[in-house]
Parts: sequence; C-alpha cells; structure tokens
Amino acid sequence: MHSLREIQAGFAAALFNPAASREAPGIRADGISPAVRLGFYRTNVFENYRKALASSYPAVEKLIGQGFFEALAQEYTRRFSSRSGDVGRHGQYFSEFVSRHPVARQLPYLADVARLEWCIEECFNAAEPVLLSLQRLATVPAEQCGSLRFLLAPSSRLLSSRYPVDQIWRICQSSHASNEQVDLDAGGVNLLVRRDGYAVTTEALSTAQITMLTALASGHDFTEAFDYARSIESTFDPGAFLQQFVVNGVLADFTLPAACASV
Amino acid sequence: MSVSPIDPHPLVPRAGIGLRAPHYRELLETRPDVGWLEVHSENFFGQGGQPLHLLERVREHYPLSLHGVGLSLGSADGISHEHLVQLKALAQRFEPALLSDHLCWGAVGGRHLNDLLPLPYTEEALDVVCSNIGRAQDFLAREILVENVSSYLQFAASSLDEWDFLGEVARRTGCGLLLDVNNIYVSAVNHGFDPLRYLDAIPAERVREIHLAGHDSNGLCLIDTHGNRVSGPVWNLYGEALSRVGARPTLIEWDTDLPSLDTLLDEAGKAEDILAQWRPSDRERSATHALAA
Repeated sequence: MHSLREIQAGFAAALFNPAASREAPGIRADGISPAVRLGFYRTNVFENYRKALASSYPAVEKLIGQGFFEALAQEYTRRFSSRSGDVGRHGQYFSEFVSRHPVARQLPYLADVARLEWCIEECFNAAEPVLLSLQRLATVPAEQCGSLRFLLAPSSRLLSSRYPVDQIWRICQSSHASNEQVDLDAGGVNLLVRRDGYAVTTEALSTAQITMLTALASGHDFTEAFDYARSIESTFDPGAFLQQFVVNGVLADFTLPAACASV
Repeated sequence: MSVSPIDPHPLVPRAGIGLRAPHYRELLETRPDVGWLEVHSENFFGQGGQPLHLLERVREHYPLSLHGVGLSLGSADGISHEHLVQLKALAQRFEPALLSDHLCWGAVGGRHLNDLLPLPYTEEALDVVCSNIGRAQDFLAREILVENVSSYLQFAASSLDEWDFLGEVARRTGCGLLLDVNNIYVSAVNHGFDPLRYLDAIPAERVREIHLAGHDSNGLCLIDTHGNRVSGPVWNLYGEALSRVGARPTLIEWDTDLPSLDTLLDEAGKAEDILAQWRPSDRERSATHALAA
C-alpha cells in the first residue's frame, strides 16, 4: 500500500512527465486508462499556468503569438515549478527563463519586455507608499544631508534595457494601432516604473538619474549616490533630483545614521 | 483544537455570485440586489493597490465570502505557513462571513500544482486532512468551510466513500461544509454513483454554503469548467440538496468565458426562486397555510 506522500509525489511526477505515467500509483481504470485520466488533469494544470502567465505577460504573448506563448509557458512550467499556492506568483522567473531560451536570439528584447511586465505587476500589487514628510526632511541640518539614506517606495521599480522596451510594450497595448514601428537600434532606455494612484506608469530616466536611484536603493547615502551620478553627468543637480523624486513619491522615507540621529 | 464559536449561519440564505475582476466597476456602479459576494482569496494576496481598494468598496455594500484555492488541505507535507499568514491578514481586514477551501491537495515536496487534485480516501488521508484543517482553524481562529471537488479519477487505495470521508472530516474537526452540487453531479456521472446517496450522507447541520456552476464534457468525462450556465440535472439536484439541508447561502460560480454581470444575476435569480421554497419563514408560512386549509 502506497503512503499518501508516495501517491502525491507519483502523481506530480507523472503530471509533468507523461512518460512517467506508470509512476502514478494506484489510479483505477474504470473504463478509461489511468494515463488518459491523468491527461485530463495535465490539460487543466497547464491551462491554469498558461492563463496565469498570459495575465502577467500580455505583451510577451502578443509579440510571439498565442501558440508559441503556450509552448513557452509549458516549457517554463516544467523547468520552474510553482512554489506558491497563489498561482499569480508563478511568473516570477519567466524573464530569466526567456533570456536563456533560444527565442532570445531571434527576439533579443523579449526578456526585457518580460522584466518590464513583471515590474508592472509588482507595482500594481505593492503596498501603499508612505509619503515622505517634507517637514521632517527640512529639519535635517544642512551638514548632515549628505548622510541621509533614502528608501524607495515599494510600488516603484527601476529597469534598464539596451532596447526601447517601453515603446515595444506600448505598441502591444490593444488600444494602439498595430502598424506603429519601433526602431530597435534607437538605443536603450532607463525606466522608472511606479504606481500613480492605482495605475502603473513608466517614465524614462537619464542614466545619471537611474544611477543615483539605484545607488540609493542599494543602501548608499546621499553623498555616495550623488558621486556616482556626477561621474556620469558632471552637471547633475542633486537639488532638482531630490525635488522630483520626493514629489512623485519614489523616495518614500529616509534615515540618518545613528551618529546624526539627534533629528 | 480550539475553534471560536461563531454564528452557525452568518449569511442570510440568499443567492450570491462569484465576483471576478471584469465585473467590479459595473457592480459598484449599479449595486444590484444580490445577497452576497464571493472572491478568490489568493487574488487579494497583494500588499496594496487597486484590487484591495475595490474589494474594500465592495465590502461596504455586500456581505463577503473568501474562497481559497491554494491552501492544499490534503497535502501529506502539511500546509504552508506563509499562505496561512496571508489568508489571516486578509480575513482580519475584510471580516468575511465565510472562509473556505477545498477537500483536495495541490502541493508536494515544495512544488505547487495549483489545481484541485483528488485524494485517496484512506484512513491516513483522513488523519492528514483533519490535522491540516485543525491547524488552519487554530491559526485563523475561526471555522473554515471545506468544499467537495469534481474528480476525474479514483484511487485503488480508497477504503471510504467520498461522502463518508467528508462527513467524518466535519465531525472530527468541527469545520463547516461547502456543498458543491455541480461537483457532486460531475463526480457521480464520472464514477457512476447515485448523487442522492451522497446528499443523504452529508451531515445537514454542518452545511454552511452551497456552490452551483456549469460543467462541460470532453467526450469521456464531465469536466468542472465553471464556463457555462448551471445544467438542468444540477438544478434538480440542488432542489434535492435543499430538501435535505434546508435553505443555505448559494453561490453562482463562473470562471472561464466569463459572461455579463446580468447573466450571473439571472442565474442567481433562479437559485433565489428555488431557495424561496426552503427558507424557514416560507416553510412556516406554508405550514400555517396547510393547517388553516
């Protein structure tokens, strides 16, 4: 007699590998072979995953077509098993998978479009941003401003691509005319993806801006982050930067190191 | 095991509909007279944003039921703590009248299959399911409802009938039952049992909610697609169920090829008409009427 765990492990193995159908222990035939019965579940399971991935990656599906997307979704699901009871999380590693898939040689921008779509999904469902208190910021003595460390809003993401992925994504939205052309050689783009109200928007950033935001997001203080930005753009204005990204809510909170924490 | 006492019938026995994203705006704008609404818990596991905001607005106007598809109550590995934490946060925020998941499994060895997979009905599986439900109810500090699923295969190892297994789960854990009449019908056709036998065996006092949905056929089996109207035989079986358990909150579920909100409300209206025959007040009225005659 097989244990419950053996039955479940055998069922899962057979579901993902039809050749292993015999490993699924103890399915009664009752007029339909166990392999065919398992096939009913296989159809449902892969359809669930296809739908979940299509919901996270509508632009990728539009770019490669439904048929190829379905095949890609199947291959992804076999390689990257779902780790959550929330099927909406299944697409987490899809862009990584696409970047190493042979399709990336023909459509080198596809993985970045996938990355953008996952950023959009994450921003859409992220925690509500807490607005940075300008009053509190104003109380920081000027000589300590360089030591400030900022936190980025949970509903914002940064993304750089060698391709104009924001344009590619935009023409994939059904409201746009399909005869629009994107010049793939037009150069890369640095993007800020963020939720504004309940809608997610993308906007292009300069290399210095995204460098500074990335440095802040990875824990550098304001002076260090500014040094990175200034090495890219000698005339970079830290005041204007602070103004722009505090007002749009991307810089959501700040801390001072313990030594300066009298504020 | 400690399950906090709750009102045994927190929802009025009216018809409700499963609310899906494309219908939020229309529902909020038109506010149709529907008894209650049910949503899939996992669709609201995000930390913020529009889905939770809309659900909050919906909750201001309608009683709510949270229906899960991902707890995997039948997993030999036990249930995910992270999943329970997310579910509890959601339940605390929305205070649903009912909270449910399925008599099935969906994960093994850390791999999720994200489907409602059938269990072998063995003594071992009974212990596993009861232990998982007990853990869920303890953690959530409330009763959960457990729903019977459609199945397309049976295990040779099964030593119990599904209806006896389900009844025993309710007796041992104190959980409520969500009786899916369409699933009973689909499994009865697929496995060749009498659906009335199933209904006769269900402990009526544990049934808190009923589900109705459409199914499809793939030529060999009936498949629980939730993709069309409730079929004639399922409406008949629904009447049989109500004659045994009494009027219960009844949900119209529709997930694939989602129709207009009006179509869902129309199906809910049909359920209301049948429910009206079994509401206590209606029954008392007809009893008085019979005495006077």
